Amino acid sequence: VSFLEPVFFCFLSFFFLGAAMLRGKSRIWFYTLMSYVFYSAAYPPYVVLLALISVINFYSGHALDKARGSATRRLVVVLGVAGSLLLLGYFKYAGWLVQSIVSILFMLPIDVKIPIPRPALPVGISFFTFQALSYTIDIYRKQIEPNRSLLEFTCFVAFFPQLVAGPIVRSREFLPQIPDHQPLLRADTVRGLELVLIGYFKKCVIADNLAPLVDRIFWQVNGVCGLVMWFGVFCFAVQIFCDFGGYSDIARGLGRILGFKIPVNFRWPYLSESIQEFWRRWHITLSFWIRDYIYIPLGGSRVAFSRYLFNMMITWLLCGLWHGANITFILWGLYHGFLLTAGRLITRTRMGRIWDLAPRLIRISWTFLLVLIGWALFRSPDLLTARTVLSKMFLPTAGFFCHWEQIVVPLTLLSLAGFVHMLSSHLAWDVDHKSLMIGAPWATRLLLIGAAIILIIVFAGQQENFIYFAF
Amino acid sequence: MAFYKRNDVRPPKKSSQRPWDRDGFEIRFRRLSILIAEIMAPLFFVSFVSNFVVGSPWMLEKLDRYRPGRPGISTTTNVEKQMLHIEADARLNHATPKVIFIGTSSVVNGIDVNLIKAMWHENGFARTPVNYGLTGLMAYELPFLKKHLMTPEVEAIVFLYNTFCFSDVIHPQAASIRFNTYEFIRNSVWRKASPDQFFKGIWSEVLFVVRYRGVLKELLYRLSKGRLEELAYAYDFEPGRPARGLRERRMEKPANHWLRNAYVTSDTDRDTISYRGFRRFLDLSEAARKNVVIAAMPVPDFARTNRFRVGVNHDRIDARIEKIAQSRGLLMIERKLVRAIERDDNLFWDRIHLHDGGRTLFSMWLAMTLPELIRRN
Repeated sequence: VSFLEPVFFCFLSFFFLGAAMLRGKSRIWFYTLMSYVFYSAAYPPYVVLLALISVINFYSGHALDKARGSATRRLVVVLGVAGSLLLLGYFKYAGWLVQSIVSILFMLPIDVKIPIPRPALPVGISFFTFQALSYTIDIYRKQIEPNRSLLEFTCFVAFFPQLVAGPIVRSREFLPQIPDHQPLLRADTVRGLELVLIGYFKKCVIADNLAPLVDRIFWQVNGVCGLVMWFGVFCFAVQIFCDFGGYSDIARGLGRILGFKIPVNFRWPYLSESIQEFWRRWHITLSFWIRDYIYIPLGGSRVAFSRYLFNMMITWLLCGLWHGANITFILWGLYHGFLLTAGRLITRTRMGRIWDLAPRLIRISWTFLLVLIGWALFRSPDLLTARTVLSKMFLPTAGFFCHWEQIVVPLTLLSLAGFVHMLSSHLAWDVDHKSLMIGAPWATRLLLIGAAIILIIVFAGQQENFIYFAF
Repeated sequence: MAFYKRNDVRPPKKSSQRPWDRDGFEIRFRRLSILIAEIMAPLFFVSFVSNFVVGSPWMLEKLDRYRPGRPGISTTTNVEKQMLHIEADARLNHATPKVIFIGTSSVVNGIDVNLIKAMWHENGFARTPVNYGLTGLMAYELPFLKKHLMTPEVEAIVFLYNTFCFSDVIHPQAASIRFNTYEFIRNSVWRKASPDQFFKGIWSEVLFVVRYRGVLKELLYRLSKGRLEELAYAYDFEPGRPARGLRERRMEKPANHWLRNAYVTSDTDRDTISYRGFRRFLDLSEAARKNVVIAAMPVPDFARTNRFRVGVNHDRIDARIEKIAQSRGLLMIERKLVRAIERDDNLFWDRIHLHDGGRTLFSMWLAMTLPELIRRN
């Protein structure tokens, strides 16, 4: 079930009613069962997978707690992590890997007949696997104690707001909230509702209206001129931010209504002044997960330069691969790895110091430009398209500015949206935990929320699924 | 244990010690009241604004008057616009009893109600003909429209069918716009629909702004650009344009189009959702004492073997409808009476829609034929 389908609202009404009326363990049972019902709507057999990942990591945690000796502990963590990663790997990468091997052998030329596994991708597998893995690894590192309740752990892994597209919540952030959580407190409910409405506005009104435009441009990359290509990539940057950011807002809002604080996933990423900063503001839960569980264990930056370079490239290769089994995602990851490395090196030079003196707007624009190039890779379905897109963007041709008149109005609207985005960062940077409407009288809230709902319904674009559902 | 962080996951051994167990009836009641006040109340408010402000008769009349024409809008918005017109017209008080022409887009483009009205009034048959044509209307949808068709003002309903109207296929774009939950369940239409179509349909039935959101969006867009104009013509094609080029262009559609399935599944002896819906519509009409006339909509001969219709036995479909009509004692205008129109290619825009000339001819013929049938019924 997507957050956009009408059936979801029926599900949600029932969920809220249960949250209000139940108490104690029965409420956690209810959350867990309903989250499984939610997940089973996509493809019922895959609830087994969800349960399996929960069980593997829960019992790995217990085994780690009981294990004596570092060798045994290491063995247990390797088994636990490998068990989860094998499931992730089979469903997400096996087909692609076998296909790649067959293609390479065919080029050699060695003609082999290997059956290519093509399992349907379980929705959100990358998200909930990473969530569960953080638990096992944290116990191994002795940062947390294992949870004694399988029910609570299963609830954490399957909690429906964040289940299919994040944010990637860590066990140490979520599990302690379970015994103390208070659903439907007035302030939290109002703030949660605000987040949900902001999320739906971003997704339905902005992202879904841009989606057909972006699709049209990327379907016929050969037929568009350079300027339109830049415009298409720019639109995609806005679309993916509003799509994924919208989902995160809805998830956080629903969590807040139910009494859980789900971490922030986006903090005005397109206002970053460097790529380093961009990754502290974009998909924060993933970038911090990768930092803590891949980059730092590899040695981080406090190593020899060659090792640092290796660490960066491996980390970002895996980050790209996390998004999907496609060469364009890998290139996108490596591109960001390269930018981060280059950024770090330049900072130490005189050029870096001069760059720090440049006006903020220039630094933001430059960073955004670099991010846009990355999005061109990310959005392209294959390498050939990516090459065409990038050549259209960078190679000046005779018809580079054709159809400029068609993009004036949408570009003006998007620029206006960008201005609102900048303004909102000034107004609301540190007010994430505060409600904007809680101080207003109930009738005013009713009017504002009602008007917002009608606005979203009327101006929603053609319904598209969330982009990150595919990851 | 010093290595554990402050926010350790260390639940107490006895679950009874946990804060959640202290939630008494009072706390739960407070939660319920917050749920109602902060979440349910805005939804009721939206429902009120949607149905009693945006959907008020005054607003409906305005929306209908400025509804967008077919060119430049999506099929979904077109379906919404047609439905909006029916809803607005059903609330209007006509001076004389209404005769409703209902059917697919063939009816939208093939019936000139002004011409029929003029001819009837000239001949002393004081009735108001209204065009309730709806793009891709299937017979299973007829009972869905009962509250608009069975009003006291309606004297007769003329159902002009195409041979794809009796299919087992749900119209992809109209499924949630032309909807009635009770009839949807009663006629087992849900068996052919996806859960999403069902829930969308309920939303659309409950909320005016959901049902007509495409039209509202289009009108607001036009208003913002200062281009809000009254509807110039109610047809899909601008009157007076030559038909020839268009006819050939519009033939190019994929063979796996839903319309092909609609033709194929109509040609059957089985009981489809549409045959079932058609019988239900006749039952409802009989109960409401409405005259029903069934007629075959003319279809051009050149389209008899196109990709959608090839292999479909149209005579069998016509015969089945005739049989149903006879069993109910209803009058039916048979296809053989409109064969002259079907043979003339120049009377059609495309494979299904009558051109200006065809519309005039067919409307005149209906204007002459119907009064007698309606009186006799």
